[in-house]
Amino acid sequence: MLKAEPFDLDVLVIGGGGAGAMAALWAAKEVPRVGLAEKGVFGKSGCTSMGAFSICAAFGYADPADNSRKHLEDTIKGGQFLNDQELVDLYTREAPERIQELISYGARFDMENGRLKQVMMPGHSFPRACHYDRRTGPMIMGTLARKLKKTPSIRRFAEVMVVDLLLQPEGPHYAVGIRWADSSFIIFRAKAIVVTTGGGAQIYKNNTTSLDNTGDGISLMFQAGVELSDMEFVQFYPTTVCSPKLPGLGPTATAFLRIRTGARLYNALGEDFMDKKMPGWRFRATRDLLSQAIYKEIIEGRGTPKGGVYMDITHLPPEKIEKEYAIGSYYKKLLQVGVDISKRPIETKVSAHFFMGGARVNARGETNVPGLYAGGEATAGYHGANRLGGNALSEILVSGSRAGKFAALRAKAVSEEGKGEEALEGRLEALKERIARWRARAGGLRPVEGKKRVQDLMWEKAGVVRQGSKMREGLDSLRALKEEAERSLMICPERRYNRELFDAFEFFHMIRVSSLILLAALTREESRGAHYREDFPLPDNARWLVNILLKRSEDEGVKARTEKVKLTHLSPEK
Amino acid sequence: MKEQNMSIVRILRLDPDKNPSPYFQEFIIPFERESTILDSLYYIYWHLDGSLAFRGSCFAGGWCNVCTLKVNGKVLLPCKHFMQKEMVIEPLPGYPVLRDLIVDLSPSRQKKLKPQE
Repeated sequence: MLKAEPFDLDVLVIGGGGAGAMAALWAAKEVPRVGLAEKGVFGKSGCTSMGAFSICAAFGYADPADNSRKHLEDTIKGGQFLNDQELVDLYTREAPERIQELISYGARFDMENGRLKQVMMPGHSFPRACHYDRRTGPMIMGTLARKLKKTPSIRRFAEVMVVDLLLQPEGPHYAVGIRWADSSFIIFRAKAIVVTTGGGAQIYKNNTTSLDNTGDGISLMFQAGVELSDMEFVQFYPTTVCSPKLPGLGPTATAFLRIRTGARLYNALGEDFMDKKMPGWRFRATRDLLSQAIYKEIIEGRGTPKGGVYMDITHLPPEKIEKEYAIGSYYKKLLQVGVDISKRPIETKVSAHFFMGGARVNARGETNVPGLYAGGEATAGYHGANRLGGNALSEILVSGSRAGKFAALRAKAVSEEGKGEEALEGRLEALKERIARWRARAGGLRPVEGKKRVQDLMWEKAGVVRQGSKMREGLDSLRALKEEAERSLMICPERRYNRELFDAFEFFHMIRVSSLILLAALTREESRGAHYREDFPLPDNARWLVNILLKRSEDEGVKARTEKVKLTHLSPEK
Repeated sequence: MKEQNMSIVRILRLDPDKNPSPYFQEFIIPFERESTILDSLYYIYWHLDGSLAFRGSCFAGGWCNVCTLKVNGKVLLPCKHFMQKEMVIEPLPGYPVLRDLIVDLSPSRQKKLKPQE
């Protein structure tokens, strides 16, 4: 089994969401042998299809005064000046082109006067959110999946989890995958690899992401020597579904109430706490500020019994509610699950939503390892310390396409095959032994139990509001959990569609990514964007206008360094 | 726990490595008003049988659609419907069954993936 011939590819893309699809499509314009490996069902994995509403780009249709420079300013201010400004410049300039590209593939958007309809999103100074009903993400992913199907040079490997990368600065890169169908290994040999595996918000017990969003790619890249940046910045989504559950409307469905008309937010004592903190917050408060405010209400004992706060639009006239929420049949869909928002408040909570951190890449999407590229949420730099709503879906199109294109250009320029097979054999043997150990144990820690423990621990020790002493406890607990897992992790022996096999690898990725987040968060002794520390509650531009970069050290530890942000396009106001 | 707070779940299982014929297996799990059918499968996977094979990605009610199944005779999205006191769960009809609730969803077969709501 291990002696299987590798699939020889020019470019291998790992991760089948929007960024991965774009990377594969752009690579296929340049080279004939492109592979796309994804953990889930073809066209269905990842979080792109969960993007409910907005995709932002400065078309200037709703207001001609909008342009890419304004979009850049908003994105950098929202990111509290930690963004890589060169990347933001590229992103904001190319976002409209990439949306046009989607339209050329058959994407549909809501229109107004013959042009894309654009609406306001918090943190943006102009209405620039395009949308398609409340199904923008599924529409985009469906469009990309259809386009991929029509591109025969892209070979797709669905339900394959890549579990190891062997990167060779001089030679071809190898990726080792496991097929979910029968647990067999699949080897890829590629002149360039693009990682588009998304973030890892599943490390938190409350999260809005798909179950496969476990930080695999970030973890694999780190292990393979890629430098990561901004790992301390995890965006928490302030107003997610808590109670009642709203199946079918998506985890962030409740946010629509706040964004569309502005809702009242109040605690169990009936206090409108946001109005007190920030008058006129409705279109000004970014996700980080809202999350911290809501989290504080909850941890200081003023939350609802189910662990949220109330969100309420009952003060609005019922006709207005019906009219405003006719979009996407939102009002009707809520009625169908038994909730009349014109009559009652709903409970809403804070959930982990997005990783601003990831692989450090340049404008070509290239990491510090030659031939290894990254795009989408697995990268750092585009969103700085906090991402604006609507910027994810457009960013992944830009960063994915760039990574795919430049990976392909590199693949064209290098011609080497076959080197490094001995090293690969060693890796395969080690992997095989590891899995055999998990399978052989009759009792011990189950992967899903381990994952749950990471989630609880991270929520408590590195959640919305952080503190040095708690985070150090968190690191100790993760270390102990990893030791326990190495000693006692067990999985069931089934060969076909064994969930526990994938869960086991995900569990180890979650531990590694969580540890890196804690390390970065401990290093940053200030509060900025999504990173809020009670022991350092204020931002400190004099000292901390830097990115924290993490890289694997020779002795399997972590080397942290800081690098000053280059303020090439915009500087903070004095 | 009182009996009325439990749910009886019968799942059609198959592992071609062991036996070429499918069979029903019964699980009894706590009934939670606000849990979905997909939550029930995950509960069984976690607490009762780690070998249960099923798909589920978004867990959010009809965004990825990979969990589509037949429950009590009706094809539906188990992430979009609340669990019931008695459930008979079978793989999505019309597709080759590969194991338990997993059917062949390769791209050429995906066309029909539209639940009856």
